[in-house]
Amino acid sequence: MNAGVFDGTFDLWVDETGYPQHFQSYTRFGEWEEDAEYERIAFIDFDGPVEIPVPDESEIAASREEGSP
Amino acid sequence: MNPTSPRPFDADRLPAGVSPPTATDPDHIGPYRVVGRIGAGGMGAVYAGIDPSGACAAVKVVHPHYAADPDFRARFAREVSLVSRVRATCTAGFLGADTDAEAPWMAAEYVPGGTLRAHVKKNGPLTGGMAISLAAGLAEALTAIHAAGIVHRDLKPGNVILAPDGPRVLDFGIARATDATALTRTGGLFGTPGWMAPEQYARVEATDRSDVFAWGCLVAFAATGRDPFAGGPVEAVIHRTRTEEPDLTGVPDEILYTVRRALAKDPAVRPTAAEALAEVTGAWSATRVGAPPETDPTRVVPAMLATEWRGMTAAAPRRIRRSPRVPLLAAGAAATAAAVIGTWFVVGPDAGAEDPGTAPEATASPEATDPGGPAVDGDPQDAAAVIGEAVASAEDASSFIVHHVRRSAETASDSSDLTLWYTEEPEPLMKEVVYAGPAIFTVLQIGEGPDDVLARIDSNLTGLVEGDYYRPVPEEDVRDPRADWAASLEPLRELLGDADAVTYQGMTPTPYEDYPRSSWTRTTWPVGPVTTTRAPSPSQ
Repeated sequence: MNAGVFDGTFDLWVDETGYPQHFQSYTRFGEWEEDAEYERIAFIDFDGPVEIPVPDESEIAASREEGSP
Repeated sequence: MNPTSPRPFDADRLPAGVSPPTATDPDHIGPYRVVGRIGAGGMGAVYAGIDPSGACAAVKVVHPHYAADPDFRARFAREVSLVSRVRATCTAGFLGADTDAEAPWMAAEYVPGGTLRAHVKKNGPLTGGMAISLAAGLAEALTAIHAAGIVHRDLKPGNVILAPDGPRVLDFGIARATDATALTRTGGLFGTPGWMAPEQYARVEATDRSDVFAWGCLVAFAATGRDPFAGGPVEAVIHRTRTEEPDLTGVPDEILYTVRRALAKDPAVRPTAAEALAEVTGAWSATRVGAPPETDPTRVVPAMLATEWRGMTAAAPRRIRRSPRVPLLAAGAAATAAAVIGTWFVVGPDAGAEDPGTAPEATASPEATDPGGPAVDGDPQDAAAVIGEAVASAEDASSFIVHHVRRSAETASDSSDLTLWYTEEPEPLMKEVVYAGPAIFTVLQIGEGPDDVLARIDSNLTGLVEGDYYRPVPEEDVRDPRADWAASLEPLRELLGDADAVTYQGMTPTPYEDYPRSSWTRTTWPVGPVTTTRAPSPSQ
């Protein structure tokens, strides 16, 4: 980036422990947000507690159709 | 395209929004030499290609992950077969395809220009003959698309390009192949609220009349500058679509009756695209004193565009600086010559607290001199070490939460919004949630192998309605969370290809956003040493 002109294509933030924290790149800037093309990756947490509930076998539907809302 | 028009791009000059290919992009696709990347997403990539005669094309290539699926290949081949039959003035012309290639591809005319939405937002509504010729052009495109047996299903301002010589409808046919899985999963629901017909919300399969409703919406939007069913929460837009009549003030009188009928809640009341085309071209022809009568409406459209379509230009392609050592950095769409640099930051507490131009030189903290500490502390300007360590740390993490958003302005199929969770406790578990408009897809991998895979579909159409987990059958095309995790790290790996071109910008808070559909909470961010440094840009 130079003088506030978006001529670069990515920004990367790295936290003090060395993990990536946030990445964003742009392939196109539009005058409006929805005309822009970009990629954003929020590395929200590393090596912290992460809970991923696993359903009990009795909670698993027999098929996609049966499981559909 | 007008044969006298300048080429929209060549090997040295690319339009705004088209980036030079990266080191990971193919050199050739079929007969096309790849000179730029138009867009990329989960289903594949679209490249700017030049054939041996010098003709330009937009070449869509299917991602290997999907190409390996025989069912997907069959769908892709079927859709290509349908699309190849569409011949219209106002569609992007089909140029060729190879559905048997290792990476199946399809080439279409490259259409220069901005989207209808971008144009209206920037310049206001189209008026008079421009609005009428747009209505005719879109109806002509839909007539041809429907005649080929295709229902577009997702006609919206972002899928219409206003080229210098007329409007073009994009993203039909192939979008259906790539999204067939989502279609199946959501019981036929596909589209964009605000442009979808009322019956689509009732899970009635979209028909050609659903496209005509979207046509009415597009014409109303173009002529009034207003979203026909306004904005706001999706639920409110859906409710208005199903129950309210849009305000058509501003739509030219010549086409008002046709547009109003197209927006009827009952599909049976709407005209076909061919009828709408005949009515619009008939209304226009009636105003042409002395013009010979033309009985085929599709033949009126080129004459109408030649007479009425004015003032649309596509920005001249810009000369690009090619640097094969800068895989991800050479995009950008600034009007000025692009300096090919990227930046990285240490996470810090005070955005903009110091003017980088007057920032003091780095003051080494005690930690910075610790050879055993993180590279970002030891020498934050050593981009290769810092980025390499970031990638390695992420790969070795025992747990993580990552939110990854890709946005393509043109095609919904090239955009994605997903969150990944991973933990090794009490066993390896990886979960992925993909937010896909009215549907939310969840995949849960259990075990390292993984040993078991579960999937779930939630409806987000009118408030969240959760489904139940089920075991997808082998032929079902569910996401692979581990592959998407690798894809989330790939941009960082590519940066290592030219770390010398990366500029250290000092410490700032992350531009962290509260993504509304995410479920994590985190209130504090790691803070780096309270110093700010800025290295001179290598391009300066």
